[in-house]
Amino acid sequence: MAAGKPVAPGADGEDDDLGTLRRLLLRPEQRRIEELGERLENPALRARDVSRVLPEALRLSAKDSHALGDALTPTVETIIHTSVRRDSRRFADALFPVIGPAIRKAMAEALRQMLQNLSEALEHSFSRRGLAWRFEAWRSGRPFAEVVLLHSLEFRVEQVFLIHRESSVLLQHLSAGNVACEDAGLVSAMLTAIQDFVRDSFAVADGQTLDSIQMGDLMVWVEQGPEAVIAGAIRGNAPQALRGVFREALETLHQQQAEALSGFTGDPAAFETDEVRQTLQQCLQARYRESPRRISPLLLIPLLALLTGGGYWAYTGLRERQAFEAYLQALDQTPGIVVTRAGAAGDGYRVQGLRDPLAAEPLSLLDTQGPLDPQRLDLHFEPYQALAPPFVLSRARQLLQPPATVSLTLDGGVLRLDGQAPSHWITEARRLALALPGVDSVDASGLRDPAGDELHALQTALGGQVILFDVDTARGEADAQTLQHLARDLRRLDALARQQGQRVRVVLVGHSDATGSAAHNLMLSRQRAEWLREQLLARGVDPALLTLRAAGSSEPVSTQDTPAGRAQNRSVTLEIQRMPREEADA
Amino acid sequence: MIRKKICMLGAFAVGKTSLVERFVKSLFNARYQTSLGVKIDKKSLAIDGRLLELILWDLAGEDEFVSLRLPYLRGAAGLLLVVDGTRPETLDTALALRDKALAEIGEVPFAFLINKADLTEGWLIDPRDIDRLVARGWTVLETSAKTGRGVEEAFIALGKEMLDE
Repeated sequence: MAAGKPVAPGADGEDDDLGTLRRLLLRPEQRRIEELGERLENPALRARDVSRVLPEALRLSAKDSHALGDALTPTVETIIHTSVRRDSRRFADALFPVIGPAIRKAMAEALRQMLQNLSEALEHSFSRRGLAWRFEAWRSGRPFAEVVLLHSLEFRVEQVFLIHRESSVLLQHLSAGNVACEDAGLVSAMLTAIQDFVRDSFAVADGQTLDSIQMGDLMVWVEQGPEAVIAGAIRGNAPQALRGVFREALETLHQQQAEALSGFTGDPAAFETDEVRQTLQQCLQARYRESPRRISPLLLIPLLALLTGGGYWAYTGLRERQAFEAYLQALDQTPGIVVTRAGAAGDGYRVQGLRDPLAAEPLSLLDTQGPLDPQRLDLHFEPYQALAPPFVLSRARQLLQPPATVSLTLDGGVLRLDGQAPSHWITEARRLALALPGVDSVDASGLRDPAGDELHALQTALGGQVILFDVDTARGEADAQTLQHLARDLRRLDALARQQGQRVRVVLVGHSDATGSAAHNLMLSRQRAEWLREQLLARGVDPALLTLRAAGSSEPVSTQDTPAGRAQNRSVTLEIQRMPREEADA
Repeated sequence: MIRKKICMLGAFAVGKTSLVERFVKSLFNARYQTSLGVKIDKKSLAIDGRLLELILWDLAGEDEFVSLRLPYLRGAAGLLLVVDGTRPETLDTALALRDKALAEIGEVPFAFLINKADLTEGWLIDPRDIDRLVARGWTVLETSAKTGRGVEEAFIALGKEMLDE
């Protein structure tokens, strides 16, 4: 053994050998350990090593847990703070490319949210429910949008299919409002196919059917009947009670359409009826989280009555007011009526004014069949005299009572009287007319009195009549014709006088000549007058018209000194006395 | 309007779907056939002034791996049996399908459609076999998926038979 190295006695040889062996065997490892030791001891080398594995280590750590992130957060925050404090511009530059889009995105999102809330709010704002929700939001202090969300749709049956079970042919299809529908005929066949597929593909006991298909918030519920199937496409979460509705509809349809269903050969026309549609319509339900409270029909009746009554009241009130206005206008347009004050008063209407008694009766101007009840009218008219020509004339007629032959006209303040009238009326009229309001003067130049004229003429003529008698006789010489004429004239005289409002008295004055005794003559003259009266009465003269007076020879008609004169004195003359009616009656 | 369900049957890859493709209204993707085993289309026809709406159940083709899903036949008022004119064995399949289908749903009108009639060079079905079908009083039409020849006629022929039922 040739070794320069000293070794311990007894063990030297062994040590030496072992050391050599160790060196021989383990030199590479030894060197490696030394290298590793150096790498561990030498910070520069260690840093280089860690830098090699750090990225991968970070990746792995981030993948497995958040621990690294949590650990790094304070440091990163400090770094960011330091960086910003040191050079904020650099940080801003780094953020610049992302900050714009980030803000835009945030704003767009905020706007979208706001618009959505707004549109929902608008949609719900003006409905009865919307108002109720608004009240609820105010009461609970929650935002309106949140209230709307709480109450939003819970479920809605969007489509209902009535399908013939055997042939899968679509019999009827209904959809809710604005739901877009694919070809319902194909969809119904496909639904059946899916049913068949499930039944065929999985072990399903006989008689069991696929009664529900669900995908997300859309469900298809299928209700099977012996002849027909109802399938409903439902969005949202429908309660199981809806099943009952489907089943009930299906049962109803089986009852109603029993024949059409069992004998179905492909013609769906039999199911295009309102009856079928109405039955299916019951399945098209929708529900909100809180269904709007229904008004009880019992409550609806008085409400409806109230509304109807109110409407009727308002309507009749309006009609009544219109009628009152029309009535006032009619009053105003009526001559002789002046309305001074009018309006509603208490329960009715009050009208105050002036009315000429000759004017139309105010109530007669109201349409009694109209909406204004006369009972509700309170009319107060003070009498007055209207000076309008029709009223002056009317009043003149009332006062003057003209005969039908007289016409009255008013020209300015001048009352013109034209035509024929008895003279006494003419005199009276002249006097009275001046007392009339609105009459300043009377023009009666157009009036004539033909009867008065005739009466006068007749009076004159009769007054000159002398009925002669022979000597000492009481029987007149006058022939029948003369007597007849005389009687006729007297009757006429009486009639004319009566016409004029007068009475006449005819005195038959008997005369005699102066021969013979006065007593005899007196008696003779009486007998002569009596004779004439007899003659006249026999010819229709009113006895009341005639009176007698025996004048004897005391009132000779002519001279008593000549025979001709004496012949004239043997006579009866007529004295016509005119007197006013009252005196005559008396 | 009359609505009827009809089923289209045939061996695998006889070209049923592409045969009727342009004559029907489709709503559902053709993938449905591979998943559900049936594709449903609609064909509207006017026959003698009457509107006929056929709901066409296009059943997946039958081969040794896929067998006919009998429930799909239920309620069918007519059958279209499609045969590939270049594959004689598909005629046998069609005949077998006919028997199977009628056994399931009872006697309904049907029509055989011998498809790919434009490839007459490759025509491999014995004309005598076709004649035999005709001789039995069955409706047999030659159709072309490429030109569409015979397809409309096939629908009309079947529709008429169904309406006459």
